[in-house]
Amino acid sequence: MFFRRFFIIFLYHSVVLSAISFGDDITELLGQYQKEIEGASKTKKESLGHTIVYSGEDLKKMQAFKLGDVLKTLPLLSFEKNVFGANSPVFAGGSQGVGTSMRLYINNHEVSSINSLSPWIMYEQYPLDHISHIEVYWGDGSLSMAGEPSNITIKLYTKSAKHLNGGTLRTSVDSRDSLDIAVVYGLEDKEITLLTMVDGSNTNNPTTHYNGEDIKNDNNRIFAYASLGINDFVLDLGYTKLSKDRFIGFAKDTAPDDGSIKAEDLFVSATKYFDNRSGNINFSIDKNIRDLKESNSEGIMVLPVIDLLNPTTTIPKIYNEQLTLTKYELSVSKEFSLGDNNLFLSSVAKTKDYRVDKREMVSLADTPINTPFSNIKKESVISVMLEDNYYLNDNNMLVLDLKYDKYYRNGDFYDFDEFSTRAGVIATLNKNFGVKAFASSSFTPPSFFEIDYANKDNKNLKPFSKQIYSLEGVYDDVDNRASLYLNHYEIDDAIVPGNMSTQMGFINSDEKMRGESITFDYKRKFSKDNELNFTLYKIKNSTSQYASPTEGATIRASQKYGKFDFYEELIFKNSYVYNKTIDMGTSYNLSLGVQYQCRKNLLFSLKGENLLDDDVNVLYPDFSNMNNIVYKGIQNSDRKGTISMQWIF
Amino acid sequence: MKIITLCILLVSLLTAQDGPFTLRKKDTIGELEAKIVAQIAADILNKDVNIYVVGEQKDFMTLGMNGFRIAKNCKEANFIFVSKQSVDDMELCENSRAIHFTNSRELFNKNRDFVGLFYWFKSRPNITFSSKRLESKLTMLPKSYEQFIEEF
Repeated sequence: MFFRRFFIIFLYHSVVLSAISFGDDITELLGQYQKEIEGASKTKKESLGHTIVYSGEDLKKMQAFKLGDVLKTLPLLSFEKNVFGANSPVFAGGSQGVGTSMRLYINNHEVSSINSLSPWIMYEQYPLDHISHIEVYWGDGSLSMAGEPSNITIKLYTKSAKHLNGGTLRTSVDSRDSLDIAVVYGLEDKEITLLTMVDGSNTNNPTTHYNGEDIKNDNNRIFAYASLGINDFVLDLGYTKLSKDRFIGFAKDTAPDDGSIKAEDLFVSATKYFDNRSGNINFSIDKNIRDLKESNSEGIMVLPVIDLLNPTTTIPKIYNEQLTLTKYELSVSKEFSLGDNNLFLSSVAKTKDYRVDKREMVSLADTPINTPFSNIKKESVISVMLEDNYYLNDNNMLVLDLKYDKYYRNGDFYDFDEFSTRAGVIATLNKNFGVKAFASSSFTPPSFFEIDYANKDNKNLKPFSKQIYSLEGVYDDVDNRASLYLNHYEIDDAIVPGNMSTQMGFINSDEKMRGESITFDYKRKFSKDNELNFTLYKIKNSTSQYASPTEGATIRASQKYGKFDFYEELIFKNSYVYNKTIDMGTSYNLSLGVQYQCRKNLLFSLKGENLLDDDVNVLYPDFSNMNNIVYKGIQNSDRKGTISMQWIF
Repeated sequence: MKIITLCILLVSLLTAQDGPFTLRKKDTIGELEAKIVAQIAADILNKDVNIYVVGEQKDFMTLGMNGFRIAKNCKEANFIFVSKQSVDDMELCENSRAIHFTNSRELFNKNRDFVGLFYWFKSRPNITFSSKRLESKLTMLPKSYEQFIEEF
């Protein structure tokens, strides 16, 4: 054996030939090829907005096994737990809550909750083992997508089954005895590809002590995903199951006696591509099942049923709810080329059903409460979109989006229609410098959750309208990339929580909201395996009271020495004073990671998170005394270490 | 002054080349795959490459490398690449003495004319050469290819 190999190599070296070489080492080329496959070259669409891409290589260096590991590094956001204990990105300066303006896609399927329009409670811990790369778009890019309107769109792209051609197994254990196991397998046989992923985890979070009570936030999750491709037909299946503690829930005194959240999300999406994949027809069904339980002897702030003039008979102490929400969606889209114009035309019809299977409440006076939240049960939407990309030449483009949405709703809720527009320019000034600018006018509809929890005097919340203007300058050469991003927005009829004593529940604000932000991002590549990324941002808006940090910075660096990879991450958030009384200090969230490539198919990882034990504090209200609502700051995460093993088979 | 600045800006917009944004979709993956096959051909042959591609040739045509030519048929070629999308057209080159290479595992396993294979396995791109097939064709590989040779 050895002789045979030696013979071949010896023959080669013994013959002196005039060498012909293209100047590339084959191993180097294979590395470049793998990076390209795990990058966004096939999926990134510059016209969708201002973009941040996390390539497969970035995710590996960051030890980003869960979506939250990526979300917490994004600028202009704070990563904070809402009252249900789900880590959610919160717009800088805003309060923790259930936001409606961020969209999450797995490939081309939107997975936001049908009830709240927020994806985070189910997907913040989404595993990334089967994800090739992540694209984040700032701005209202949803105008050319089938999903609900957005300010930020996050797109997860799954790995290609044919490139996996095998499986991966990951096991992670953290310092609080949490366990996470993920298995991915992909195969290709002629025209058929199959990608599958199953992830199971139990996560133990520290118990918070408040008013002599424990606030628990442990959870168990199962994620499954499968994608079957046969020529130009793709069938995607997704399943998510969550079982967790209630965390704060709606407890009047911030600490419920007991409670749980059980939830399941299921989607089936079938897509048929045609005309060389320039067009597609898609049909999908989403089902969300929610089973919520909460008990609290001090009371539960279920706002739709509470009358502060009769608190003992209207404030529940037991609240059990089972909901089933279903969404059916049919879309057709096609891309055309007409001279220098690239046109994208799409039409979507969807209908959402909201069914309350059970809603039981017992008041502080031990009487049943039967007040309905609202009578909305159905919402149907028909949308037509057109995007024109007009090429001045290969590197300069004008963008125009037009979208028309018609909403039909049952019960006491009026139908409405909205016309959204966006215009933009993407200009290349020279080979290193380019500019993007967009101006958009669109809206965000009220969610079922917002309607249920709207102020009793006006359940018919208006969609809020928004105008966003943004400008980005980018400098890029081989080793450096710097960008400066400016944003200005104006919102009319913003849906905000009303005053607890006079307008309890969500209302449309009378005041026009305005805000600006500036973000600077710099990436330096010292060598192939040695990178530094620095991001700095600051926001200012018309709100009278900030409820989360308004400035932040993130530093990420990675290096490789032999078989070892190192990663450093520091996330800074500024201090602010809430209600002129609560000093919310600065925070420095430091994470360090090291990985050892033991064999080609075996990787060991160690990561320490929040090592300085100095994450942001999140504000939660305590309604114990309705005449004097106080706020409590709870640190979002504690220090922890995680060890992981990845095996490729 | 403003008019001059505007004119300069307009001219730079209309003439600018390859900047930080990629507006037209490019098949960089297809280009890289072609480059890898071309590099393998060049390293094995160590002389000018006359490649015959059974399958999509577009990405090979834009490589623009010295000493690299696309042959019109099997007879002219000293290196034949059969892509897995075009395995059915393979009979065209069955009697050629050129070096045969493919990215189809199925074809590589059943046809002993093929000395090497480029394929994805266990989440990474791989190259495999059969030592017996190389020996039978008296084909030599550079030292950097030793890692890709398997004993069969």
